Parts: sequence; C-alpha cells; structure tokens
Amino acid sequence: MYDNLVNFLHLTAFTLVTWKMLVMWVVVLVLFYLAVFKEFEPLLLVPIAFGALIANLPTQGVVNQAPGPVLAPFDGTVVAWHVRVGDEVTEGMKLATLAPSRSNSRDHPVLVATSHGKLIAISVTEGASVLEGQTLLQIFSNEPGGLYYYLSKGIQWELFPPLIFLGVGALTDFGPLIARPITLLLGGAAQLGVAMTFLGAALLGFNHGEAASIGIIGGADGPTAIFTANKLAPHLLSAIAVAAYSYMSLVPLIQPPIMRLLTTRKERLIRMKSLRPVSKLERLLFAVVVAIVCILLVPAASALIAMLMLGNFLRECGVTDRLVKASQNEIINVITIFLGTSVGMTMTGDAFLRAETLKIIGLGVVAFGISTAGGVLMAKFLNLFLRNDRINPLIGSAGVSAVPMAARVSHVEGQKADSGNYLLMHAMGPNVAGVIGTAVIAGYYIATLGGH
Amino acid sequence: MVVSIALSDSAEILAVLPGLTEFLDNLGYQAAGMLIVLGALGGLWLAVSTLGRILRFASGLRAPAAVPTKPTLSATPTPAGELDPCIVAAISAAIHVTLKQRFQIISIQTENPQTPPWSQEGRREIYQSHRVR
Repeated sequence: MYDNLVNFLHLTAFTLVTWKMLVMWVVVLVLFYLAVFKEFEPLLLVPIAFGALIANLPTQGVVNQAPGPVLAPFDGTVVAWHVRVGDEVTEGMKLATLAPSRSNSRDHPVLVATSHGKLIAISVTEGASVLEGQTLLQIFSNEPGGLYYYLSKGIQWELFPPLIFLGVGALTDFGPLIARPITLLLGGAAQLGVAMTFLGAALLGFNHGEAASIGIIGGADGPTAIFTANKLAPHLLSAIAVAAYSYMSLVPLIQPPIMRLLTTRKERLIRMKSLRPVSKLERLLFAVVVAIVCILLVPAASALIAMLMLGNFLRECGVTDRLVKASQNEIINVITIFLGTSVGMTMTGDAFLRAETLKIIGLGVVAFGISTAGGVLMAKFLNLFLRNDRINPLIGSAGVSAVPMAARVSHVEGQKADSGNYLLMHAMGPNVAGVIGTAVIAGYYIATLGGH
Repeated sequence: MVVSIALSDSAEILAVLPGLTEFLDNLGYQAAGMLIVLGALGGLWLAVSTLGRILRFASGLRAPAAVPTKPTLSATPTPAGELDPCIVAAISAAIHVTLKQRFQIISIQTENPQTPPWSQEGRREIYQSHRVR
C-alpha cells in the first residue's frame, strides 16, 4: 500500500507548481473579486480569470499542442539538441538550445516541447542557421492536442472577434446615429486617445506594432483590441485584453471627472432636440453603405466591419428573426466564453509577470482619458458652427465604444446638471460611431504596420 | 540668411536628440491616422445625411395628400379632470396581473401631455427599475 501511495504521489502535479504560478493565482483571485463582487465586466472577466487559472496549473490535455512539426520560434542558430530521434517527448521537456540572431528579451533560447509523442525526425543539425517558422523536428502521436489548443485557434485565426461583432451588430440600434449623423464625428474624435497613447507607448520603448495594440485600448472595444493585438503584438494579447476589459468596466469612474473638467455648467444644461424617426430602408442602406465605405477604405478591418454590418442588417431587415436571436444570444454567448477563456489561457506567469504589463495598464488609463477628452472637445468644436440644434458636449465622451456604458455615463452626468434632461439616446449615436471609428483606426494600423 | 541659421539650428537639435525625429515621424503617422478616421466618419456623415434627405423627400412625394376630416367626439365624453373608466380598468387589470393579491388604488396621477417624450421615456425607465415589493 505504501508503494502504491508513493507511486501515486509521483503522478500528481504538486511538484510542478512554480512561484510564477502562485503569483498568478493571486492575480486570478483579484480578477475574480473584481468580476464577481464588484461586477466589473463579469461576462468577460470571469472566463478570462478562469482561463488564467487553468493556464497557471500544470494541466494535461488542456493546452498541449497537437503532435506534429515543431517550428523555429525566431531566426537564429541551433546550438545543441537535447533529444534524439526515437525518444519519447513529454510536455515541458527541453528539446534544443537556440541562439537568436538578434537580441530580444522575448526570444527564449531553450526550445521546450508543448506536445507529447515520439520524436521521429530532426531536420536541422547542430550549428545550422534556421529561419523563423522553419521545421526543426517532428513529433508523432495518435493522441490529439488539448481542448484549448483547438479553441485558442479562434483567436489565432481571428475567428472570435468578428463573430462577437456579428452579435454586437445584431444588438446595436444605429437609429440614433442615422437620425443625427453628425455624431459620427464624435466617435472619430474619441480615437484621439488611441493615437496619443501610440506616441506614449513608442516613447516608453514599445515597437510600432505593440504601441498600436496598446493604443487601441483607448477605443474601449474589447474584440477590436484583441483582433489588433493578435495581428501586431500577440505576445501582449493577455495584458491588453485584461486592461481593455478592466477599463471598460471602470468607465463610470474614469470619464466623469474629465467630462466635468472640460465643460461648463451652461454646456451641460444643453437640451438636445428629439431625434427624428428613422425608416427601415434608411437603416438597411446605412448598414450597406458603412460596409462598403469602411471595407474599401481599410480592407484590413474587413472581417470586423463585415460581420458588424451583417449582424445589423439581419436585425433591421425584419425577416430573419431566428438568425437575429441566434446572433444576439447563442452565438455571442458561446463565443464570449471561448474568447474569454482563450485570452485567459495566454496569461501564463512568463507572459504576464513582466514590467511591460504594468506599462500597458498605465497607458490604458491614459488612452481612456484622452479618448474621453477628444469626444467632448469635438462636441464643443461642432457647437461653434451649430446654431439651432447644439450638441450637449457630455455625449462626446460616449465616442469611446464601451457600448452602452459610456452612453449611460453621459446620461447620468447630464441628469446631475438637469434632472429633466435625457441624453441616453442622443449619446448612443457617438457610442456606436465609436465602434466604427475604432475598427477604422485598427484597420489603418494593421494595414500600415504589416500585420498580415 | 535668417532661414539658413534656423535650418542649421534645427539640424543641430535633431543631431542632439535623435529620438526627436522618430517622435516627429510617429506624430505624422498618427496625424494621418486621425485624418483617415475623421475623413471616413465625416464621409459617412455626408452620405447618411444625403441618403436620409433623399428618402424623406421620396416618401413625401409618395404620401397621398391628407384628407381633412371632421374631429370625432367620443361616445361618452369624459369630463375635464376625470379619468376615462377604460383607463382605470386597464390599470386595475395590470396591477392585478402583476401583484396577484387584493389591492386598492388610492390615486392615479396623469402625466402632463406637454411633457416631452424624452422625459416620459426617462420616467418609464426609472419606474421600470423599481423592484415590486
């Protein structure tokens, strides 16, 4: 019996727990606390936190890759092999030591197995130069990869963010925006935070792809932030996603002081005219026009724009009830679970416990603040030219996407100044314009920074 | 002469601050990005406004001229200040369905018909957020 117990203990994973995992458990607890007890974006933070917990446990059959070719992670040289053809390879086993051709702190010199099976071929000899993506060796096994090896493909292959956008489109009423299309400019101006944060991130030493991905946090649009980060800075995905969703939930705390600082009491009291009714044909044409214009302008964001407008067209056409309900409920809910947990799975101690994460979290709040200011200032600027139907600048802050929380903040702030002023529907215009604006600037970055 | 001095000064500054040229490049890159975003959304603004005007104009052309009708009087006119019994019955039925217990209506307050629709929507939202005890 003693031997059986000892043998069993050898099979447990307690000895595989590292200090980084323990630290990440604390991070996970903080995320759980924020999501469950403070209700900060719980629909996303709960799956992200749980995914992070799983990522920081020595699991089997969850994140292991499917056996197959092992590729060179960067350009460099094979210094030494630690395995031979015929060896049984297990996850975590050292395969080779590599020397990167350029100095980069993220290029780890030890190549570690992420799948298990039999090593059937080594394609490169010691001392040979290799290029990123070149096949180094082949591992064979009849067993497939882990559950999240496959589900995470939804992020890597950029399937989840566009599918989320399908649901967002099906849930979004563009009526207020169509009735008052000038509010599109507020959504555009609120991208100022994205641009300014890019500059700040570049000054802090991030490269252009990383700076663009960090800047997109200011757009307050989770799926677009994930989409951009996956293309331009996949190694920062977890920190960017966590920052984006955390700050989206903090919109009611971040925005009001900036809104009050930039507006006078007289401006906050402005009552806007009721919005005109919008016909079904206008709504349908809007979806088609936005899709055509935005895709022609920034083809790199086609997947996001196309799915957003498909979802909205389904909603507005009135003859696809079942598809609309599926997009609004089942599809977006299922994808949210997979997206959240897949993002959480990237929060390993090695990837998350870095000084870069703190910088990203700091830059994220700056991005939100500047975006808020950009929208408010644009509304004030437009009021210089509007005589009869002035805009309450408080709705400018809703230009950061965060639908509909940012619009609610505008409404609440408006009511603090005048309890009879109802800005909610007026603020929905810039709010949904912000979604389009963030997708456009993300497309600009992806196209120009070569994210393909 | 003045211009050449200014140019040589700026060249010296750039030589001292090599990061400045990169910052200026980035600034130009971001300015172009913002211009594209505002251009795209501005273009959409013009397109949507024009489309809306065309559609409203077309629907105005299609709509038949309204035939003037005589104002009709209710069969049982309600005296000023009193509620229509049908409305009272509808409110009673709604309370019965919601509470499922005996109740007594103490007062019914009517909204001022002059209240803007946005204020009415706000009131409706606030009442909807109340929990029935």
